[in-house]
Amino acid sequence: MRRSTSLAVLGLAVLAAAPAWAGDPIFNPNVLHETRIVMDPKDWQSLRDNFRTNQYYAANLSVDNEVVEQVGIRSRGKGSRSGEKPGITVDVNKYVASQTFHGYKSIVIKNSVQDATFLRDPLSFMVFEGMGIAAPQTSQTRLTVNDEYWGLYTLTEDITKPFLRARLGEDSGNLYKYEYGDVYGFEYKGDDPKAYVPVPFEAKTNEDHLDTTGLITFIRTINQAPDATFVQDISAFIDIPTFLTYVAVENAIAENDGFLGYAGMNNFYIYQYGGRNKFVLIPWDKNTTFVDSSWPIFQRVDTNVLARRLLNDPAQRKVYLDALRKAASVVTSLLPNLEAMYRLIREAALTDTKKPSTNDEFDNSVGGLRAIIQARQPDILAQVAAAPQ
Amino acid sequence: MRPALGWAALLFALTAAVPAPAQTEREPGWSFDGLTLRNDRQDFRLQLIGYGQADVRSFPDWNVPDKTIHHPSNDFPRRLRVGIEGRWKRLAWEVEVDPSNDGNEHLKNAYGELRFGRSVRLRGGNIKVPVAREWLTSASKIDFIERSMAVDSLAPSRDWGGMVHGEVHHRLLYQVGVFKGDGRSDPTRAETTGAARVVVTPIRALDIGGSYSQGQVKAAPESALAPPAPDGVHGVTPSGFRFYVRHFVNGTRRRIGLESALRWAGLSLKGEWLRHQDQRKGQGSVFDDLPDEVGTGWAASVVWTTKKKKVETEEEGEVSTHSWYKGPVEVAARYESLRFDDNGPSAGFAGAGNRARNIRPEQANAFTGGLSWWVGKWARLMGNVILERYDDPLITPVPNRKGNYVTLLGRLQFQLP
Repeated sequence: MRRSTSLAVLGLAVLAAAPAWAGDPIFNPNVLHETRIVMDPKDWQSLRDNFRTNQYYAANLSVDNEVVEQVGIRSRGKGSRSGEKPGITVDVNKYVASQTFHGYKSIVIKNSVQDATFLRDPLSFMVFEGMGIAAPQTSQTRLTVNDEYWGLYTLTEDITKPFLRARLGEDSGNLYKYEYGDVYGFEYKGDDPKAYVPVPFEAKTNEDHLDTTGLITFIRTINQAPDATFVQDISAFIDIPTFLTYVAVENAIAENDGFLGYAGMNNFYIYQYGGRNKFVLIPWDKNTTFVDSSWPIFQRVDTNVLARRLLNDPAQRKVYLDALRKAASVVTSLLPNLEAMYRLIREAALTDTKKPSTNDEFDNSVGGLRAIIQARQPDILAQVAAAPQ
Repeated sequence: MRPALGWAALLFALTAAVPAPAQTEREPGWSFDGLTLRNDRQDFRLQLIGYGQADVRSFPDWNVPDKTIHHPSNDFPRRLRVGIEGRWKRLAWEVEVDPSNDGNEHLKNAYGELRFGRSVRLRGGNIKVPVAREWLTSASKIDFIERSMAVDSLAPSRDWGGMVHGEVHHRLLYQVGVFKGDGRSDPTRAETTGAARVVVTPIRALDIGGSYSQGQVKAAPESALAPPAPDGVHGVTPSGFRFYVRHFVNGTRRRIGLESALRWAGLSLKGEWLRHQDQRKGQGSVFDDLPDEVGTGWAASVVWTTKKKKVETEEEGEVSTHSWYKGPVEVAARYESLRFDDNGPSAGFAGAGNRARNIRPEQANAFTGGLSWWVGKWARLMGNVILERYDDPLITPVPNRKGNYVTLLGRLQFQLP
């Protein structure tokens, strides 16, 4: 069975709170993993002191007692960067050429300092998966550094070529990470590639021979295609139902800092398939979701050229609303998962003295998240029913 | 100069050299002798020099991962040297370029020399920093296609400077100089470097020598916009696999070399040991001082030549090894090792990072078997079989493939006589 098929199946299985796991063992969400880092204590101190930099340090890493030696680790994140509880990017082949760990050249260990529940990332990605959109695998882990417990973290599959191969079927195309620079919503900024790369679109593949023609043509079409032919023109670049489903999921999970973020687009990858002008979005960093049970279903649609122009079309609006109805159902089905994961991580979270929140805040935040998820489906359905068709 | 022009110049020179008649009795005054313009009455000589090398490289028992090997499979040309050398009374000079090299590597030897006799000569210009016997031997005359790992990774390069050198009673050879750095075009170049080398010949067939160099390496300052590149040496094996990456260094750089050569009939036994030590002041992750980085390598080789060799003499800083124009065949074997570590205590986490306090020791060993045939006056054919063995899974050319790695090398060399 191909991994994309198996993950779709497992997505449904997870939503049914079944313990079966067909993905990579280190991302099994039904297990609280044990991640250990061994490194020079002065290097760890330096990483913490200089957590704003991307300086790499050599370390040995193990996940559930499976060791990979001489990896490179560095501080990671934007708003989540922390010296007290650093988020970590593991570059498996930084010092050992071609070394991989479970097939991955890099792994992300998120510190969840912006999410007191520790659950928003995994639960949000479950909704994307449940809606047929490829999202990174995640699992929860205890992290120790030089035998000192450093808290509860989230192991996250990095968006690299193994992800592209497994989930999108090929990896020869251009992968861009959306690198936040300023408020931006797919406006056309001319034909100069420097207006787009490396900010806000940072190339993660084909860096040596990057051809941005497809990306620029896509953005120009978003902005300059006539209204009468817009849907047809833009369908050459994206699968419109998939894109609208992506946007519907973000509003269903009340994402405040995503594709329709509070300060423009943020927290996603965009992949251009190899040899084609076809693009797809991949979600990333979903720790600011479920902020409100009555989140508007058209929240900030008008701030994004692509979303706004598509949703001006009645037929596409219907596709979007249908996706919202389905997403609302998927959100509700998260509840058993929330309870299972809460039980799984609670002790590790309570003993996590590096987290910025108190233990009461942790428990209360999970309660708040539970309440939002419980209330989200009826609210979405009510908004959909009231929306102009 | 483009490589194609260099090849053309070399071929033209070879063509011009072929019909040169042997001169049994030289006329006084100016004359051409092959590629040499000379005037014996004026004690003047001006000669065109050069050679070109084309290499092929294959890996019969392993698939080379991308960017693992630092040489292309077909290296045409690997080297292409064209130049002139001359002498007028006490003055000698040489200028040699290599248009096949990238960047500012084009200029090779470029020096003038004042000779006060065999025992005292003053040389100034862009010349080889005198450390390590094999490094001071021309790449056209070394016994194997690749220099030893120790020399290739640890020896200095050419730089601007001045040197006094000479030979005393065929028993003592010395070279002492001061240079602007230890590698003019090397990105890891040290600052002002002093170097010395002494070779004694206690008996006619035996040379024993030592060399030393010292300079200061200054690390580039930290910058948020462009992180500095490390200035340390790296470790590359004869196959071209880089098993040890450059580390951040800052402070005194020292090299110590020992060498020996024993000749007996057609046999030649050579041994060379080289140690490279860089201080790492302020190069820790919290800008603390780290133990020195130490690279140590050695090579032992035996060469059997089918024709009787001439007595080796070092002339112009290079070794004339044999009467190659008579077409000898050489069979050679070499075993070598190169290891990197630090001189601090082996305590705590040993890391592969380039600011590691406790450098994880990394070592490579290699055996090379070689065959060389001087086809005629202008050509040399070489074939080498390299066997490298890796028992540490973290420094294998193919990930996690421990064991032997075979590399085949071939070379065609054209040379001006």
